[in-house]
Amino acid sequence: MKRIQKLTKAPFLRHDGTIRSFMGDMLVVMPFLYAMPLFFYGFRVIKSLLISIIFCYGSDMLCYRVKKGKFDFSDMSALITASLIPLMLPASVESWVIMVAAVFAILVAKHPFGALGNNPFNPAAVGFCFVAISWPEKVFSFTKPGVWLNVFGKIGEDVKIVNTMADSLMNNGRPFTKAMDIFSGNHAGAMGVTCIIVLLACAGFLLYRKTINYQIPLGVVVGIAVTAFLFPRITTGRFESIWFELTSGMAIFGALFLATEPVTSPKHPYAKLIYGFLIGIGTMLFRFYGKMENCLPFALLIVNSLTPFLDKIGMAIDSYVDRGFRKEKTIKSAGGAKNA
Amino acid sequence: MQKVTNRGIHLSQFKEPAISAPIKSISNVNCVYLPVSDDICVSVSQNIKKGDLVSNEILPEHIASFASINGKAVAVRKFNCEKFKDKMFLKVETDGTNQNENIDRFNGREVTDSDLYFAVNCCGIINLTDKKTLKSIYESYPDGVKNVVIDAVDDEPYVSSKISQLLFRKNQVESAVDAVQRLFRAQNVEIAVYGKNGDVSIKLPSKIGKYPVTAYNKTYPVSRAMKSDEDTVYICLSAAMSLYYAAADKKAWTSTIVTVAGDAVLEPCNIEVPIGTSIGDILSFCGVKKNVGTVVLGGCMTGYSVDILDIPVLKSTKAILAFESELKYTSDECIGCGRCVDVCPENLLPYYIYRYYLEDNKERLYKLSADKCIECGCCSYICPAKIDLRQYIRNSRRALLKEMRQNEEDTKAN
Repeated sequence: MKRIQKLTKAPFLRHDGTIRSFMGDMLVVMPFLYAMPLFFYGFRVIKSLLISIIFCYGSDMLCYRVKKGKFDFSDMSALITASLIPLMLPASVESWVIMVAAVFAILVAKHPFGALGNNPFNPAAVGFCFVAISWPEKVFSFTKPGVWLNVFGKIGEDVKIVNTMADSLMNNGRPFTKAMDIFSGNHAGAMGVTCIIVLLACAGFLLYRKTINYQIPLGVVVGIAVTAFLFPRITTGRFESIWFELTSGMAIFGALFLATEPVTSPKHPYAKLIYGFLIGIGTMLFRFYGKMENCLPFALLIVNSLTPFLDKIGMAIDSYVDRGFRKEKTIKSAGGAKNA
Repeated sequence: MQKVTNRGIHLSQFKEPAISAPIKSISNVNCVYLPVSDDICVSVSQNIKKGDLVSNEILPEHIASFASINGKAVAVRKFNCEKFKDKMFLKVETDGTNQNENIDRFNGREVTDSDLYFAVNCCGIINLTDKKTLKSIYESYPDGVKNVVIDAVDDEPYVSSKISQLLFRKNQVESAVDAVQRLFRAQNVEIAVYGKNGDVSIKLPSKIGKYPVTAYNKTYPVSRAMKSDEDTVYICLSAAMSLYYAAADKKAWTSTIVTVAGDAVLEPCNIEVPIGTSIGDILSFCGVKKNVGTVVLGGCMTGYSVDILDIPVLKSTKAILAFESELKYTSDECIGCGRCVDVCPENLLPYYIYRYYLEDNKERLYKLSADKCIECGCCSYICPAKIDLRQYIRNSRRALLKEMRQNEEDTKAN
C-alpha cells in the first residue's frame, strides 16, 4: 500500500532507487527482447504481447477490486509478468493459450498469496507450467525462424513445424546448429529465449543497474554445466555437451529473467548460489527424465518452495565462516601474546 | 584487526563546506544543561566554576559530569523528548565571566605522567568508539598494549567534527596522540581517518608529527567495526583530545566539537561549544534560514530528529543538522528484493527480522540473532520500498535483549 509519511527516524538519507525504478529497469529491456522475435516471426509476436498485457492487467485489476484494495497503475509487476509469458511460448501459439497462462499466473500464483511481495512461486513460471502441462502440443510446436506468420488466426498453410535443439538432445543426437545461429537466435525455439546475445546484453544492463544479482544466474549456469559435464547426453564430447545444454531450451533466459525474480528467490548471497545451483541440477534432471523441452520453469517452481530453508542454510554457512575466522584469530593473538 | 566485511553502502558525503571552514568556538552562552544523576554534588543556587564536579555516576557509562561554564546552578529539569526521557539535567546560568579560550595556549605544553593519571582517573573521559570509559580501558590493560589506533573516522555524511581537528589543530592532535601512546605504552600508534570523502577538496595529511594517518577506504559503517581486542585498542580522537587537555589544564575538559551543517544552515562549520549548550543557541550562532523543516541531532544515518530546541549537546553528539524540507518518503509494501541482506555489515537477514517482528515471533528473532544489530541504518537506506527497517529491527532487538536479560535473571534465581 502506497502512503506518504514524514521521516522522523534515522537514517535521514535514503537511496534514490525505488521499487518503481527497479521495475522500470526490467521494462526497459523488454523491447530489446521482443526485437529479435519480431524480426523472425513478424507482428504475431506483438499481438501475443498485447493479449498477455491486457489479460494480466485486467485480472490484476479484478483481484484488487474483489479485495476492495486500490489498484495502483504505477505498480508494474503485472506488466513484467505479462511481458515474460509470451517470451517463453512459441510465436505460433494460439491467443487463448497466452490468455489462459496470463490469467492463471495472476489469479492463482499471485493474488491468493497476498499479491506483490508475498507470492511464493514465480507467477510467470506458474502460468507457463500450467499451459505446458495442459496443452503440450501447442506449447512445444515451434516453427522455423525467418518465416513470418499470419498475425491473426492460423499460422499459415506453408509453415512447417520443425525440431529444436532441445528435441535433438532429448533423442541423444547432436544438434547441427552453428554457433553463430545460436548466438543470433536463428534456430527454432520459444520466441524470446533463443537469441543469446540479446539476453546477455540485457542482463549486462540489469547487472550494472543492480536490478538482478549475479549469484543466481551463476548458480544456474554452474549447475547445468557440471551436470552436463558429468552425464553428457551426446556422444561427441563432454565440453560440447556443456555448450549445447546451456544454449538449448530456456536455460539462459530462465537463469537471467525467471530465477532472479526478487520476490521468490532467497535473500542471502550464499543461499542465492545454492538456489541457482539447485535450479540448474533440477533442470537437467527434468531433461533426463522428463518429456518437456523447456523445463527450467518446472525446476524453478520446485526450488522456489525451498527458499526460506535455503536462506537458513546461507546464514548457517555465514556463521560457520565467521566462527572459523574468530577461532583462528584468537589462537593467533594468544600466540602473539606469548611471544611478546 | 576485527573482521571487516565488504558489505555496507557507499554514501555521498556532503562534507563541504563545513570541513574546510576553520573551527569556531563559542563559550559565552547564557545557560547550559549539564547531565546529572541522583548522585549530584552541587545544590541549587550554588555558584560553580568551570571544571567543577557536578555529578557522579551518570548512566549508562557511569561517568562524572563537570561544569562547562562559570555560573550559578538554577534548577534540575527533564526534557520531554524520547531520547532524553530518563535523564536529568542541571540548568546553569552564566555569571558573565566566560571568555573564549585561546586553544593555542596548549601548543607544545609538556604533560607529566602524574597529570595523565589524574586525567584518566578523575576527568570522566569516555571513549566513544566502544562506549567505555577511558579509565576502564586503561585498567583492563595493566601491561600496556601493542597497537593503539586513534579513531578519527567520520564515515557519516555531513559529519566532520573529528577530521577537522586533524586539519586545523595539528599541534594539539599530535600532543594528544603522544599522551595516549605514553598512557598505554604502545609500540605502534596510527590515526585512522575515512578516506572516501568524495567531494572534499582539502587533502588529508599523511602524517601528524611522527604518527601515520591511515585512510580507511571502506564502505559506510567503518567505525562500528572497531572493537578493541588483545593487541589493539581503538581510542576515539575526542577522548584523546580530552585526555591531553585535561592533563595540561589539570582540570576536566568540558568542551566538545560538533558539526553544524545541512541545507538550512547559513554558515556550516565545526564549532567548539561547552557541553550542555542548547542546540537552539548553536543554530542561531551559525545562522539558519527562515523555514527549517527538520533538525537532526547526530549524524544523518544514526541520529534522531528533535522538535525541542532546548535540548543540550552532550559529549557523544557528533553533529547538528538542519534541513529546509520536511523529509518525506513514499513507502510501499516490501517485495522481498533482498537488498537489505546484501548491505548488512553484520551479515544479518533484515528481511526476515522485519517479517518475524511483524509476526512478533521472538524465538525466530533469537535464531536470526537480531540482537547483533549495530543500528547502522544501511538497510533503511537501501530499501527501495522505503521501509523503516532500522526502527523495526531496533525494536525487535530491544525486546529480545530484554527477554534475554530476564531469562538470565530467572536462571540465576533458580
